[in-house]
Amino acid sequence: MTRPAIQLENVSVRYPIRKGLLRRVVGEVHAVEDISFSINEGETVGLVGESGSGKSTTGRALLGLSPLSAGEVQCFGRDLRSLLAERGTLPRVSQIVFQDPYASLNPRMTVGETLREVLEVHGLATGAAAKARVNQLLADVGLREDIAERHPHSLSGGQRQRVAIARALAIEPRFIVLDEVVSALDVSIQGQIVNLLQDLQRTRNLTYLFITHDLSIVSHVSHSIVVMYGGQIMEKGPRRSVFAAPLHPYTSALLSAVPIPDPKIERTRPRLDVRSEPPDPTAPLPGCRFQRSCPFATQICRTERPPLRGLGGDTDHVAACHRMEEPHVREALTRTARGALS
Amino acid sequence: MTMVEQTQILSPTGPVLELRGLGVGYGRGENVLQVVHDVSLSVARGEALGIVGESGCGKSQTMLAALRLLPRGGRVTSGQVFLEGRNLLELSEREMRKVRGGGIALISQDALTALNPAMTIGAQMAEPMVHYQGMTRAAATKRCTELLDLVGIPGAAARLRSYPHELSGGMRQRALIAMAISANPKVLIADEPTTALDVTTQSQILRLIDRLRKDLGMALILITHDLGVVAGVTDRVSVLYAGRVVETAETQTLFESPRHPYTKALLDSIARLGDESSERLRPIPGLPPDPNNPVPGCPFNPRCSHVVPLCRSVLPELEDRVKGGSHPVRCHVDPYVEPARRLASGAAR
Repeated sequence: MTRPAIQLENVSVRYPIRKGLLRRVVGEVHAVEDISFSINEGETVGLVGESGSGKSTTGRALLGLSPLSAGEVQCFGRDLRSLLAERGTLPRVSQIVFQDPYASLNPRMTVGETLREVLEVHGLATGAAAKARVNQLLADVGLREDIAERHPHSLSGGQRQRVAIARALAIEPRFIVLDEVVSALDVSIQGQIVNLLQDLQRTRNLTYLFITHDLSIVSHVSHSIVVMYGGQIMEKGPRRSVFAAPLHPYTSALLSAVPIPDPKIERTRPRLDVRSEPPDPTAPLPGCRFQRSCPFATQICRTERPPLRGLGGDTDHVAACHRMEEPHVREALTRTARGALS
Repeated sequence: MTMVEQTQILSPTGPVLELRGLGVGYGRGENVLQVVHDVSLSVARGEALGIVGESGCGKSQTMLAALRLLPRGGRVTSGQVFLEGRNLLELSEREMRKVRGGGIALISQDALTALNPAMTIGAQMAEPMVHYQGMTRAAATKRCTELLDLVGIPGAAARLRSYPHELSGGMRQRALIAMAISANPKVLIADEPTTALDVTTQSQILRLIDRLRKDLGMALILITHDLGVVAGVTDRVSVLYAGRVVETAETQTLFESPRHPYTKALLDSIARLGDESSERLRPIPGLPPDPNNPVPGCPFNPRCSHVVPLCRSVLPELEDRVKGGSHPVRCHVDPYVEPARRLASGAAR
């Protein structure tokens, strides 16, 4: 039986907005609002949503890079705040890989120096042992040893991302946040990185939070899906049921919008059209966050925040929508999903 | 078959824009870095042509060369560019300025850098109308409002007074599209128009471009690395690899029976919705081509699963071996020719 490795309970992240000479706090950005989900050990949760949905903030919060305003996070049975209090402990458990390895690798250091630095800072290896460990790390991510002498600028995008993964692996974490790690790569190369990450997960029992806006990639790597919009969770559940039978109109809109590489399907499938009205994080509306874009929104959606709930007592697959039981809403959502998956 | 015949076969109604044997290089003499080689493309009136390739394949360079907007150091090393029969490479800079906008318009990927941050949307939209088309301010403002309506920006009159940073990414891209179509171009070149956008906005922008092309009768050249984007809106597709066209076909044909091993591998490498997570993705092995270290023979040979010794020494021609088809391929082996032939003969579709 798999147990949750990472557990978020009612987590909120808010940033103060300061103004004027005295930097007085005049408001708050509600980046993440009251979200809860868990990731089983050795599994991947795919976190999807558009820019501003709070998905990257959620990932950063798990690393202690964004302070929690409210809520609890458990990492392998320990409280995130206590892990953060012990210097150097959290990085041994959790690591993060970013979208742009060109920005996250030091351009003045060779790949070998970058990796050795991590080993030395954490007191894991020095001298010849560190050198051997660097070679092993490079081999683990499918790079040749001579890459250690090179600088990031002389590497391709895919190679750089492999180096960033090697750096995250150097301290043997149990959990890695992968924030848009393949989005900047050519399609032909994306698969190399995705396959590598899946191999590493299997051999090392790694737990992943895979953050992306690319639903096709996410459907490939994830065991469960969390869909965020305007800082809140709109829908979550096992991958297969979220994609085959979405409960939330926003999930359906995402499925409608994914470009499908088949002209016949792409030109004829039914879509759920939504207006593009990104919510204002500094002045959250009462009711559902998706109300302005939703084709099904009614009075209740404007006044009451819908709770996360399942259909017919389902507790695995849940969504925050007032109208998800209504037959014509169900019909429209199922039809779009079927069109996208055919 | 000569190149001229080939392009005529590919576009039955006659091309509005045609590139013949275009080459682009950087630097001079011994050290010239050739980034585009002998590219021939054409697009007919009202037609949508997709240009697909990975980063560095020369797809943007080709179009910048056609517009004579290559950055410093870059130059056209060979070929011609015809817009309605006029060779653009022979025009004066003054004449060329009239072509940009009224003849060919360009929408680039990053709307925030393409727009002037210090001017309102209205002011930068109206500027070319007043200066090039001789409109009065009032007439230009009226036209701007119409254009913003046309591209689906609500509250157009108020939006004209907005600065670019006050608009969302999708709205900025819409404003850029409005500017691009303001002089009724014959050809609209969209270079990765949706790459920087969220997926829901991306789909709306693509459908907007598609609708405008049909309503205004423009030809469209859509440059992208995303085959899914091409599948939705183009009539034909040219696939570029290492600065060369390796395959051109009707969109449906390209997806159903690709012939070049690179096209096939690219289609196979895409993650698809509904794939099982136990399935492995099938990426193309090796690295994308490096223009600094060109490979002898076919540029795809180090990554190709059908490679024969000839591929390592001789560059294949772009030619169509299926008689009567319109599907030129640059490959010695042409391993997938049979299904393509069947598709061509069963042309009842």
